[in-house]
Amino acid sequence: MDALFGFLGGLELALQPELLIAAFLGALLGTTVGVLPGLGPIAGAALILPLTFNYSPAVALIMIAGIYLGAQYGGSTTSVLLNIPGDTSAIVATFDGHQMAKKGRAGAALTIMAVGSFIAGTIGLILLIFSAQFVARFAINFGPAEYFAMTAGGLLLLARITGGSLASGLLPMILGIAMATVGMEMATSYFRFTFGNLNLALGFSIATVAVGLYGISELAYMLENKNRDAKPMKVRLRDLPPNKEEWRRSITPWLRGSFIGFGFGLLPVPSATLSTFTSYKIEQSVSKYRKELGTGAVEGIAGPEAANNSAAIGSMVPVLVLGLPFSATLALMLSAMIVQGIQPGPLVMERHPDLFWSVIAAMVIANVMLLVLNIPMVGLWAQVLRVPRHWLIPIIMLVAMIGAFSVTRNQIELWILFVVGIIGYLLRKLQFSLASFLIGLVLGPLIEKYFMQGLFIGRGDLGYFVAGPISITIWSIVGVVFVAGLLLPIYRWVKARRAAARGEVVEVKHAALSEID
Amino acid sequence: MSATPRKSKEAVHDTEVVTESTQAISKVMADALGPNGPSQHSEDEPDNRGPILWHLDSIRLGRVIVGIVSLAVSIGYLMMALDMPQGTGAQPGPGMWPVAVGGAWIVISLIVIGEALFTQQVVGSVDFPKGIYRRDVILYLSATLGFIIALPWLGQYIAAVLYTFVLFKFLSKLPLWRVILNSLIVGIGVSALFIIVLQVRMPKGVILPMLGL
Repeated sequence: MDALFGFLGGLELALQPELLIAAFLGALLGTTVGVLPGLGPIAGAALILPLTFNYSPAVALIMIAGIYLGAQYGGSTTSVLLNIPGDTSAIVATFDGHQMAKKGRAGAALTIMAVGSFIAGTIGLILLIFSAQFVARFAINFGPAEYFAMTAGGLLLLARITGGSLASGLLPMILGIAMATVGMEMATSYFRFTFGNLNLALGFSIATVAVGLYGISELAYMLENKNRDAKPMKVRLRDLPPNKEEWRRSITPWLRGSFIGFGFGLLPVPSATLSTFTSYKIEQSVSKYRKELGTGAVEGIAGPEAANNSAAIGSMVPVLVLGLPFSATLALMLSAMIVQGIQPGPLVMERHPDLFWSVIAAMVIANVMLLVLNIPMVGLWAQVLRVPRHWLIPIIMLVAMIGAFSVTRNQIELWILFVVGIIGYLLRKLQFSLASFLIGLVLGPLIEKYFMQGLFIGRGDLGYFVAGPISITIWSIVGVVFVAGLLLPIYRWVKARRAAARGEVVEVKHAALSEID
Repeated sequence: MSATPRKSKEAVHDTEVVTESTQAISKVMADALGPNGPSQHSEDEPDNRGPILWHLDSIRLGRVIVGIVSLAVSIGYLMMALDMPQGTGAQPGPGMWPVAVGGAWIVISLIVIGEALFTQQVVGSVDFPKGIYRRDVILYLSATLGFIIALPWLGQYIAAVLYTFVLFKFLSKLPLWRVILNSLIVGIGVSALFIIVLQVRMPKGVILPMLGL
């Protein structure tokens, strides 16, 4: 009941004009960056972050949450209309979404996706409202050892899983953590790695680094995209309603996707993307119409689309309740909390209940706004895809540079923006994962704080960090993931060699040839 | 006359099928063998004798270079960290965490180099843009650099108009008058939105104040 009363109180606050406008702008901007190929929620949140510093913390958090949710709605539009996913979580939507569009059912596909996103968002928010207090109560007794394990261990897991190869996630992660050590050390006021330059005393601004990493490099990617001039199909209002059969077939995949997505959202993995692939795989296994998947089946878009929205909501639990962001966009949300003087963690619910519940309630409102923005206005979003890049790039870049400059009103922010942008572009070209860079930068100071507190409490004994069951469990999982990551390729290689020795490779060749035939 | 083109079309089609088959087999074989498996060599690929660095594809070579640069920077970082007050285990100083980070950074840099040299976890060629796409990316980055350099001297309004002018001129096929009009609208419009409406203080430069603006 506490949760319900808290939520109703938050709803009252969220209906105030300032927060309503923040939710609307977040949803609008999120859908826009989601629709535009090349731009994603991270770039959108990074662009808006410096501009939110002048407003209340709730405005900043609601806008970023709105962008995150809106981008999940909009990301799949290009998958359906252009066969180009707006971001990685929209890749699955190309499998059946574009096939439906080819059959003249683009409008129905977009409606099923928008309604599915709304249903998943609603289910996810209900789960969030009732699970948040439970998680917070559980986490309230955590000490520095548990927090150190969750932040450092979670970051290592995320870097390992998102990176692909071991080095692809770890190098950007350590670069982010090392960048976070630049500037004045808070406990002793000691200047670290500033080279006598007072402009670096406050360290690197997360907003500037995020805009550089994602803004500059994503726009460069947009420019070099060979499909940059592709024109989307037209969607008329009368094409939007799905038929009875399509509605009926969507219901169970929506529900399955919603629960799968929420579960993924709680884990330190790229939840939105993984949940869509898992949901698709499950539809391939359990759906009555599984043989139609890949040819324009409704189940192929309903399940994954619900999953990625629910994952976005689920991933709010660790960030709002534990202060642990498992995606770069949510790292920016955490950064907004820190900049506004709010200590992230389980005490947020207790110390700032108005903020916590108003953000949750505003997400409910944003979810309704997104449904209204996406269904009747889907034709308009298709038109957004027709905006030429020579309009988009100067406008986005001017906003980015003004935003970065406004952080400290210092020219050095623009230089950092540019240099980090070039580094981000090159790292992406070499297939390094940028998400762990930004999350490392945000979590770095927190990891250091918990490390120092742990050493202080444990009187310098490192055994303190693995003294409790929670920290032992987390470090064991980290150990297993890393060891498995090292052993699995060796196991595959040995297995393949044995298979080759038995002549099984010949069979594989035949299988490949028969597939081509 | 008509038989020859059909024949050559068929030949092209056959060649494509063979190429597709070869590629598909290579892919299935590579998948079966896993990322650490022995490399597949076609006739076009160079002989793998001699130093390993000579036979790396561009992504692996790029990652070796990144690893070496990262290693050099991390060693410098660790040396600086060691010069900071370390404190004791129970009373850690400001240098203790950077020492831990520096040590981890060195290890990770070595992993980057080792992974690129001795495994095939990440392979392929770096797809840098070519032709007009490369020109556009270079132009966009150069214009951005130009804006950053010019901002303190020209001020936000003039620098923004010039920046948008360059991007409109080279990224679009609009006539000059439209380019000028658009860059004035975007440059002044976006800057005014932030400076006047949102009260963001941006550099005024030296030209507009001289003109009394």
